[in-house]
Amino acid sequence: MKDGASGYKSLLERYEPVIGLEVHCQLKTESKLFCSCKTQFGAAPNQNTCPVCLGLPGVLPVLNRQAVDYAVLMAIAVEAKIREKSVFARKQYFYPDLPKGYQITQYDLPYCENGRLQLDSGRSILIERIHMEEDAGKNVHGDNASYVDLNRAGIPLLEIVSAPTIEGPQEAHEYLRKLRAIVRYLDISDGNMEEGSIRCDANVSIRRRGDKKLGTRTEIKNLNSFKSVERAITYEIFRQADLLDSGEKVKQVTLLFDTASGRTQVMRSKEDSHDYRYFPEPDLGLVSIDSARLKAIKAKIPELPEQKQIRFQTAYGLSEDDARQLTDEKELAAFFEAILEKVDAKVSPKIVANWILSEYLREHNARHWTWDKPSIDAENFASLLRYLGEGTISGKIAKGVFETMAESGTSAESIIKAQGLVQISDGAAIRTIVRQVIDENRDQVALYLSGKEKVLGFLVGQIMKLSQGRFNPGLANQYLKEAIDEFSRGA
Amino acid sequence: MSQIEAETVRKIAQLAHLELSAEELAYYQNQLASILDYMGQLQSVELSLPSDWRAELENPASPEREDHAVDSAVIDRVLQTAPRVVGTAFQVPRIIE
Amino acid sequence: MIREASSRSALEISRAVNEGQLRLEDMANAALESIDAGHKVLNTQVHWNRAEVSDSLKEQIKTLESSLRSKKNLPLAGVPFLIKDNIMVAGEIASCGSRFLSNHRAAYDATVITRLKAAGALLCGRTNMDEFGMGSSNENSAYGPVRNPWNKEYVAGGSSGGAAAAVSAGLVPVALGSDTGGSIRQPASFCGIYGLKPTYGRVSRYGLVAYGSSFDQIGPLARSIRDLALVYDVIAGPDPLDSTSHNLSAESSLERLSAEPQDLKGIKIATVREYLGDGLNPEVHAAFQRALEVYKSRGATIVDVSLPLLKLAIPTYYILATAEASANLARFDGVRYGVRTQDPNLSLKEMYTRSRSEGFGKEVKQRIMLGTYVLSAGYYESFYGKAGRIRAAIRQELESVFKGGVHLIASPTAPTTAFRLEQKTQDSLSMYLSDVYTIVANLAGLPALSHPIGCDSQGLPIGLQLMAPMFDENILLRSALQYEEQERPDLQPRGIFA
Repeated sequence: MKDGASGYKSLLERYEPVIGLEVHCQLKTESKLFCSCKTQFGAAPNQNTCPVCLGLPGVLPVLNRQAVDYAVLMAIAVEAKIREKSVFARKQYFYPDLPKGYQITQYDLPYCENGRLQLDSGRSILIERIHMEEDAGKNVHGDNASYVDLNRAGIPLLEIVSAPTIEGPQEAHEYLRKLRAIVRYLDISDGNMEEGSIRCDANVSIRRRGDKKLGTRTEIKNLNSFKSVERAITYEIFRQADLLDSGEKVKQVTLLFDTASGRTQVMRSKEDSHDYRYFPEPDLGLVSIDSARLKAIKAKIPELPEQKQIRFQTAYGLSEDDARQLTDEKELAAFFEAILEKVDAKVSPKIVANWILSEYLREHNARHWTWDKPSIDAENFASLLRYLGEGTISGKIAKGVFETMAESGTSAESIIKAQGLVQISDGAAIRTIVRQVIDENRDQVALYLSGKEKVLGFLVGQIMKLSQGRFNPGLANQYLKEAIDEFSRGA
Repeated sequence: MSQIEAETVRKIAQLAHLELSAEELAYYQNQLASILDYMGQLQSVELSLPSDWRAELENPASPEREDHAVDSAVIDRVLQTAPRVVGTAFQVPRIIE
Repeated sequence: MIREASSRSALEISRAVNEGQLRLEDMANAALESIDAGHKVLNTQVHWNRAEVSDSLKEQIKTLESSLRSKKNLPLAGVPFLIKDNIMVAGEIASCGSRFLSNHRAAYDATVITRLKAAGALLCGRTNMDEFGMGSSNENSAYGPVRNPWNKEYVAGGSSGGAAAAVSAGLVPVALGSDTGGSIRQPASFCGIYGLKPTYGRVSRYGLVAYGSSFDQIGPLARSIRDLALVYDVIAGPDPLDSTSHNLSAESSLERLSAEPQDLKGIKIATVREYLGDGLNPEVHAAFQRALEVYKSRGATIVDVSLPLLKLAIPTYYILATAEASANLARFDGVRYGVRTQDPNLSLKEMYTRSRSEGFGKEVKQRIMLGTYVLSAGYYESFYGKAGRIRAAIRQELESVFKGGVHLIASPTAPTTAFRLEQKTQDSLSMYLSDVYTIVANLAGLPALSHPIGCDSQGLPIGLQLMAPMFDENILLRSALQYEEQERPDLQPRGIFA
């Protein structure tokens, strides 16, 4: 962005961005929303299709119970109001990836309204509505023709619509990240933006500080990564501010974000906006979510990120920051707790958290590990921390061992044994080296005795170096002090 | 008799993805005018139903099926008679946004 | 004589086949012969290819023989059947009377077809219809109009005109039609046969090409009430593939027909004051009154009711049905099936528009546009929204009549007998008005039946419609059977092959 962070700050003094997000989230059911086709990703074109999702003449939709249950889970998780009888509608437009010429979706009577999602700042973003709908297929474009693949057509989606109360690109990013965490905690979606299981459209407008009236909004379509969401919104805010600054008006348009150039481009203007001719889907009855059903689904709600974070803070004494980071991903939190179970009191939750958030996450990200296939399992990781807690190895050695574990996938125990890394706490051995270091560094010892206490660190360093890091540093420290005392008395 | 503008007929045809010759346009303009005129009698009817009442809310609940995936071998048959196919995909004129 | 075999009733044929007294090949050949002859003069069939049907019948007979060996008493064993062109039979062309689908071969069987096959029926081809069911005279078919067997200068009615004419002419004993606003009952009436539109939700719509989804029902056409009941029993019942199909398992209405009392004592039949005024042909009116006397003589009581909202039935129906149709026909875009326009140098939108404009006929385009109009921004509330509310009010009005102790509502099936070919093709509205009596049952989802009650002075058949409460098909069949058994109406059109 041309002006960078300081430009954005000064823009905020004049303008207030108003952002609303429409998020489409694929539900991970086994079969499609209205037919029994597989939902698997990656099949050859049109292999996961049947008469219903191909839109052949004469077919009818039948609702997938699991999809509705998943949708209800989401509504409960964001504390939304659930409509007991909601209605599917047909949204009509022509497009090759839309086989029936209409999408079965919910319109004015969606199953869910008025939810909320709390940001780290404590501010709540209102979720205006969530509704169920079927996904479209995919058009692939060649040089002279396009090709239609309907494998995706009919996969269940939730459309989650926020109120226009998001205040900036970072908040948008955070909101999206939290939504993703929730759907993953609920285990109702893969939540993978790159594979398209979460897709996002952003409505962006700005208004002069103090104005009550909302500015003209633009809609940015198909943002397919967290980064794109942030970049596109930032770009769009600057673009709109430039227009207003130069006395022009923002036009109501639909935009596409080009990730290569970092710019938004006009896709269509308001004049070509669709007339979708919604009407209630006559092939389906009402979606019925009565109190018995609601109760049964409520019982299945797992601990959600927010609750888990609070528990981590209170039960384990973690800082808010650490607890939040650990609970960002369900699997990460589970990993933390699995390790905690396998270590004793000598390894505090704080130490486990530190190790996971720094060492482990660094390797996890650098090596592109996934949670299905971690190279270091909880037991192995816990055993490393146990060695550390018992003083068998030092912190520094432990870091080295961890790197070897990450590299080779072998166990902490075998690495420590094979490389002879067990910490030495044998007094005689340590004392011998301590004396050697004192002998070789008489000048430094004298400096220390003259009051330069920092020198002690240097001397300990020398001892550890000679021991190849294997001495118990506490003992080395203690013996050094004793030896110097002795030395000064003797001198 | 009520009127329907030629422009409205054209717009409706466009929405429905139909093209009309000038002759057809005149024909439908005339037919639609008389039918819509006839349908207009509904406008004068006042019903004793509450204003927020929705007919579809009287419908029974939709049955729901279990979430089991089943293979359907129907695509090969469909591709055999499809207008244009490349591999196993349907071909259409290049889509320009 | 060819007519001997195929002009027998479905019940007789099935009994004879199950008892081994009728060879399936003979039945099939007789049916082929008569359909071929009848189609030539009446244009009852679409995509008629005698050799192809003959081959298919050989296959069907093989399957049928093996199931007859293992399972006795298939209810439709060896009964030759004709299927309306909007019902899917896997591998067969299903064109809905449209040019757009002239090359479309169904990829799957409709639920009713699965049931017919399992019951032993022999499928002998597809009957002509108004394109996508949109018409009341069968003149809106891309494959030409069907001629009325009673007078070939007259229409057979629509949209199941081919099915009605074929059954009336004795080409087959029974056929399947579909009824959105009267499309089984009105042609049945025009052709002097029996037609049943079951309760909405009684017969699965899976595999029936949708016209007005909340109105469409598949039903049988036959030359007797018992044949009607026989077929109805096979096709009725819940279907997990149709979310609007009702959970009720249908009991055998055929068995009940024999068990029920043989009179109509205690049955109250209502006539509707608003129905018997303007537009009703005097001869039809007179025949209707005579028929009511027959019902009285069987013990029924006739009462008179007023249903003021029924005058709104036609506009209400045409708003809602065309709205649904405009969406239902959006899938015909030339991408996956059907006839795509030949010009290869078109943009996507041009390809869509051209294919649809070339493929659809005049009336279909009109109804798509009408439906598009009533749903479009700014008009929805005053048309679709209003019509939806009136529909519900009509439903309530009818319910209260039935709650008040009325068992059946009787009316003529159509205000006139069959009209001359091309008499009404230039005036859509007058054509729509001919559906005045039948439409109500579709609006309210009620079961309704048309049965013949004689002919007018020109020798054209007149029909009477009975309408019953939801899921009470039995009372329709039982009452109409009383009429049939007492009057034995002459169902034989003469001079078809002259």
